[in-house]
Amino acid sequence: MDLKIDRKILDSNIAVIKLAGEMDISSANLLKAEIKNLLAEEVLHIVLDLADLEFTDSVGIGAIVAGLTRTNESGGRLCAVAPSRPVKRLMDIVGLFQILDCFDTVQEAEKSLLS
Amino acid sequence: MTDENKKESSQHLIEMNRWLIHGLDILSELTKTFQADLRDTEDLTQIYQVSEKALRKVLLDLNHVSFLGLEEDDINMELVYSMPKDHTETILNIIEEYTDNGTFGWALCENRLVIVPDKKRNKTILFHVLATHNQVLGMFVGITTLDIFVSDAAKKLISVILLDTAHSIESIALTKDLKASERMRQEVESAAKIQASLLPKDALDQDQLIALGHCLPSDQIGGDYYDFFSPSEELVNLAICDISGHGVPAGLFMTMVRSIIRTMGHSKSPPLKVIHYLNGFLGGEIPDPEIFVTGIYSQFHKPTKTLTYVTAGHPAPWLINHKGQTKRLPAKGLAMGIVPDIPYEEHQVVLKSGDTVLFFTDGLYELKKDDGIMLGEEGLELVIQKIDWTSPQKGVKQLFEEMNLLKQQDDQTVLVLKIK
Repeated sequence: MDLKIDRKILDSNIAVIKLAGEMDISSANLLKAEIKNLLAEEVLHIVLDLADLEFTDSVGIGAIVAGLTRTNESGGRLCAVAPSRPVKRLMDIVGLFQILDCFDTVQEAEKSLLS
Repeated sequence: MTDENKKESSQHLIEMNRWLIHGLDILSELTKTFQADLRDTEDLTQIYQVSEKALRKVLLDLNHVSFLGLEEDDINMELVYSMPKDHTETILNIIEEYTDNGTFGWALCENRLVIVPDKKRNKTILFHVLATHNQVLGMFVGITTLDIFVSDAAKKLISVILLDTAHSIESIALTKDLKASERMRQEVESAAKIQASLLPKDALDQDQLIALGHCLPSDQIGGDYYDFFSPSEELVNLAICDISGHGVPAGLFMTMVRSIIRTMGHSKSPPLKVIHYLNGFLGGEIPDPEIFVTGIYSQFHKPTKTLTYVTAGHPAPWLINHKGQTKRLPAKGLAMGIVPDIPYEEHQVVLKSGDTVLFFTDGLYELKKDDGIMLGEEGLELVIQKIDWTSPQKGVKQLFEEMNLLKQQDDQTVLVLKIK
């Protein structure tokens, strides 16, 4: 299954990237490019909505880490929302929750980013 | 029709026939030269020389012949052939002038001879795109006398000559690409052999234990690594790592990780120190934030049968007891190369006779079954429980036989420590 990416910029200048399908070596670049574009458009914070992302491999995790690093470098924050069970499991194994905030809903993530 | 007209018409047909024979001669010689004599050439100048010779046979008054080729950016063009050379300055001026007034760009889109009278120079400038059916490769620019008449037959002949020239240029580029790709294939093959030789092939069979591993890369060069070695009578070090991604970049990091593990391992550094050092080193060395390394480094102390290990973003190992019961060992810690100076946790487990510790990389459960569903950790546990681990060699063989039935997506590696 391919990776589908939708983006939405909220009034609070927070971008929500919704990922759906599967992310691997052939598609992780799409997420990297999307984050790069959003930062170029001077979006400050990014929320990754992972509810419909059914699978990611380590290259996909790498794209999330790269996005996190780049958002931090631009003075913003990147956080995740509602990862599906297999994605959450891999993020947990890699230890990503030590450095990445994760919320149940986009609203909760937005509230935290604005606080 | 009058006799005079008949005679004129007959003369015309004879002339046309002579032209056709002349044209066929030119094309036949050109084809022979391109396809036989210059088949293996990598020198574009030779192609342009042959093309120039053929063009001069069609247009006897051709004062100057030049070719422009695409630069490396595949957008801009540069003068690559100009004959005679002392006209080069003039030709560059002409190209600049006709580029500015749009004629050059227009001629590029016309797949035919474009004839432009240039009264200022008292010459006729000729343009013809150099293109195959797939791509534009350049432009022919010629200078001839002002009042030249070019028949339709000559125009067609020039188009065919330049199409042949373009095909020859394209063929040289393709041959170069093929040779480079073959060279790259051979280099990757050598690198894969070197990398495979860095992993221990034989089991470490000692009075108290057996350690062995197996790696099945999904690419020729993989990003997985396992290792075991005894730095002293009392200790056995075991390591397993997974560099994100695969292929050449992952393979290069794998050799870097191995060097550090071997160096620190032989100096009996404790696992916490090794993982801390590796994390700091990789954080500084990895140029790309998306590359990271997961792994477990462990040290088995034979007198106390204690396995001390540190995990960094790696799947927890399975402990299989002598009855075949499985249990996940605790594992926590961020993958290496992401955040320097992050704390890691050391774990200890006292092993009993008959225990098997199975370390593995995620490629072992990121496998798709026939129904397209991922095997997952639960699925892998069921496979592990089915296997008799009395002989770790047979166990590993059986495990990979089971995995072989599924579609491999990533490198697959296992490392086994069996207590006798």
